[in-house]
Amino acid sequence: MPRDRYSGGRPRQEQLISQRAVYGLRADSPNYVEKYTRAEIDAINKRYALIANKRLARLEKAELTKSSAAYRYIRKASYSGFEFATAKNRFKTSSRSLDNEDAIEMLYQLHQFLFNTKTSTVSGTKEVNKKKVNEAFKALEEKHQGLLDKVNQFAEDNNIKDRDDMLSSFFNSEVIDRLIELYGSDYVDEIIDGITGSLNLSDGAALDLIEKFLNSTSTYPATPFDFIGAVINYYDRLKKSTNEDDAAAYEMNFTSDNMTYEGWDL
Amino acid sequence: MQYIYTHFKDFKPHKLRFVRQEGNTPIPRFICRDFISLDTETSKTDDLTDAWMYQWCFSYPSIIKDSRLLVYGRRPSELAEALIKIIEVNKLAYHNYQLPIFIHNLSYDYFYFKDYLIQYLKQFYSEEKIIKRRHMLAIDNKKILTFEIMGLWFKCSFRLTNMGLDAWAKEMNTKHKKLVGAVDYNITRYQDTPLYKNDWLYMFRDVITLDEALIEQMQMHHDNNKTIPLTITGYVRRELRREFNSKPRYRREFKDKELSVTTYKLLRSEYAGGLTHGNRYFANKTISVLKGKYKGYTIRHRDFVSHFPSQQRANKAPTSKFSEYYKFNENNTLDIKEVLKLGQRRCVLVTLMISNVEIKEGVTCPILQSSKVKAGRIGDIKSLDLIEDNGRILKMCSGLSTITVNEYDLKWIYKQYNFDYLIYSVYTASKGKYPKYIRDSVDKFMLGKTKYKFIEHQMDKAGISDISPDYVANHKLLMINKGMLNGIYGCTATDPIRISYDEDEQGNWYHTTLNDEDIEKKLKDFYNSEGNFMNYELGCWTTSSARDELLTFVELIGYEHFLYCDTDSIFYLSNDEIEAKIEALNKKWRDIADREKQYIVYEGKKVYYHQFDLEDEDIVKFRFLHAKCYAYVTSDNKLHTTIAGVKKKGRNNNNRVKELGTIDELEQGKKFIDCGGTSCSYINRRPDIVTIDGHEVEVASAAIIKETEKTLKSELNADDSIFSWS
Repeated sequence: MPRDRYSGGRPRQEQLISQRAVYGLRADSPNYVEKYTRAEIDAINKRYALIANKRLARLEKAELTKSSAAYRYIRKASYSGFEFATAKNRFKTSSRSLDNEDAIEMLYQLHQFLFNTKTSTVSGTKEVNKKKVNEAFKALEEKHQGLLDKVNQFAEDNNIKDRDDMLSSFFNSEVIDRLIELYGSDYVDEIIDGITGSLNLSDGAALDLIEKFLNSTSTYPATPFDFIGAVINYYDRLKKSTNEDDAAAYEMNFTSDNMTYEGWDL
Repeated sequence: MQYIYTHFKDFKPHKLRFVRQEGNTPIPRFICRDFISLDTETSKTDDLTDAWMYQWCFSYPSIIKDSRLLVYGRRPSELAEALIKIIEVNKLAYHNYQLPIFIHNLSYDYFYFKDYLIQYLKQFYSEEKIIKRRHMLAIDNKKILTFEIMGLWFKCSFRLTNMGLDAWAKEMNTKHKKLVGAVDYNITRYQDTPLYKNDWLYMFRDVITLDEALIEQMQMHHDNNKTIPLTITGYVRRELRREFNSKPRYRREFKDKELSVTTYKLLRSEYAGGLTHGNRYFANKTISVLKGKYKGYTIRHRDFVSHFPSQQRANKAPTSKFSEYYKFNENNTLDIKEVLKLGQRRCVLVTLMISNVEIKEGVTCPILQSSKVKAGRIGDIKSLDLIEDNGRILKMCSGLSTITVNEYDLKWIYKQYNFDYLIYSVYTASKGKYPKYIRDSVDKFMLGKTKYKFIEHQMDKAGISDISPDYVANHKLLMINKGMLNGIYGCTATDPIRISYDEDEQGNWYHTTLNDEDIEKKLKDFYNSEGNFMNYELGCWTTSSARDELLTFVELIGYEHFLYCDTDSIFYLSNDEIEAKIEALNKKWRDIADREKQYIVYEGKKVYYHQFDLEDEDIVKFRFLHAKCYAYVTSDNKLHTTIAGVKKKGRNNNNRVKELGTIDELEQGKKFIDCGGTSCSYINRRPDIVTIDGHEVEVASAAIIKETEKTLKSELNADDSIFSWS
């Protein structure tokens, strides 16, 4: 393969080293079709590393470092001091200092990262995330319609428009996490519905009330229905214990759209 | 035994005999002296959207000596009709009678017959009575152990053996075997599709094989319908209970160690299984000792001798009740070194808050699990920023977490990581040998295992065929003893508090959630019940001391030479120096064992527990992708594989090794089509008669098993779920 092909620009299809050849080099297989000199491997590594590092920088800029499995892997490689990685979550741009085996390993890792890993690009990571989110929404539609309504309501209350954010904000919130842990995902919507219906609260206010209740006790009712009852009792107790003004304000806070509890010791 | 084929319309059951079940229940229970074996055949549409039962058969005791009836039919309504005849004749509805009906994999067949059975029962009996006489025992959603309704007591024979019917029949050496491959499951059959001799023969043979295997199993364990356990661990439990009841002091000791709600929760949080991990520097690479960097080394594979039983025989565990030793106090904080020192003489349960965790340089087998750190996080999940290595923590860049560990795990966390901490609480118990009845049982089964293994070895040497009666009988005994030995740990690690799972009328599965009061009540019941005898903390200490031993050897071998470990075995790069070190430690342990009498004697030879034995394999290449996914090549050029989720023997006469091809193909993206697994989807529906492709079909709820392919993934393509509920 002529050397000048590796200078400048994005790799065109004919410039790419085939997967079979990379595997062949790595496994020292006599069957691989193309053979490369060490200098050629170094040149490919340099070219590939520059592209890979740009992708990593873009993932960082897009704040997708946690959701990209590829980025997480490079982070681990950097942390562990793998030969092909630098200490700053990047691929080394030169493999000249490496021995033959490590240089081929670097080529393999770069090849995997660039051509076999969807989450190495911003669009790929978003696509994977979108797929996961769609799967999650599909599962919600099929099995937990009530829960889906809660997610939508939660997103509306908090002005969240992105579907990914809608789910992650809802499910990663501590209170939902606790409810799922205690009663399973099947009952989350029933609990919130029960509380909003009985106390005439919005979903957001109900979630806040549940959070306060969870923080106030270490013993939890056995069934989700008992839980609803306990939260309603808790609400009544709170109302009685606060003075009239507080109670009115408390009531107002729970029914208003803007729920804040700064300064409230519930 | 003779079988008489009987169409369900001609089926006139006779009354069976029932005997009183032991126990002090207010209303005495009676159990049938005989049993029924039931099997169903199901079919599905090509697009896997619908499924139904098209054939069923059960065996029923006949009035003619040495013969049984084989009652058969096509539709679920016919099965319900036949079962109601049995209920009526035996008056199951009016007495506290139980008639065992064994089904191999009840969790599957249940979905096909339950709706019709309940619908038909409702025509004969009041709803109240049906609810009163209905009892479900399930270990998880849709994982049923037994289902009882109006005295029909459906039991899962698969749970009794953990083997497929074919393998079980071979193991039991039954006269008839399952006709594997006689019926093509891919052909859609309706309830009016003509069935041929082969179809019926296949169905009948399944039921006959189940009958014979059950009888053999009962004879082997000297059981009857009253005594046969529900699961395979029931056999071990029974043996242990016998030893336990031999001395009254064991019950006293058991009750003395009663757990409180707090200590129970701490133990649940502390419990972890075996340690399975690969050296991250070798992941996804073929390590060869024939050439390259590692030429001159050898790849060795060592296994611990009966690892968990060894812990219970030779190691130490809590021997008293846990009591509070320390509770966080701003004026009196506790240093980790003090806890470690305390851990040398006491069993310790410590809860600590950790942050800024970072692995020490060169450690390639980290102990701290990401799942535990995530579960104990303080605040939002987003506040945690972790660098992980196949489920274990390398660095915790941000966030706080609380974890509960015992002295063994704390020692290794302290050895392997730098971290900030704050100790919340410390509970301690005295440390001593495992209860004598456990040690005696371990000795008994270890001796049995050694004896029958030795005899089998002698038979192999003498060239005795493995299908000869002597060989089969000896092999059965070997398997029993092996199963019993390994089952002891299973009993100790069983959660004393069982969560019950059930299905509501709409077919939705639910389980009860326990609050602290319930836990307290359940714990009290557990310790007061005569049937219970196993302290849960013993199981927790068994696994943690096993992890401790494994890591001791990993450290001895050298983190840089360690390749992969799984609970009780290590693959590593070796040389003479490393082998000498291992043998020295083995010898040290043998000396201790000699002193403490931690061995059994068979034919004048001592067999030691607690030894790290070299496997007789000359490994030249090794490769792993992640935990439970590895392959190696031995010098005879034979490829060996272990891949979770990929079956050893697959469809189309293919096997895992053949489908993998070469060791270098153990790679992300590799697809296993024939050896891939199966997945099950469920349809929840009321009984109905529908027309499918011009056929009138009785349909109801169903379980559809799909064949799936398995694609290997590496960390680069990890497909972790983003939401905890999904």
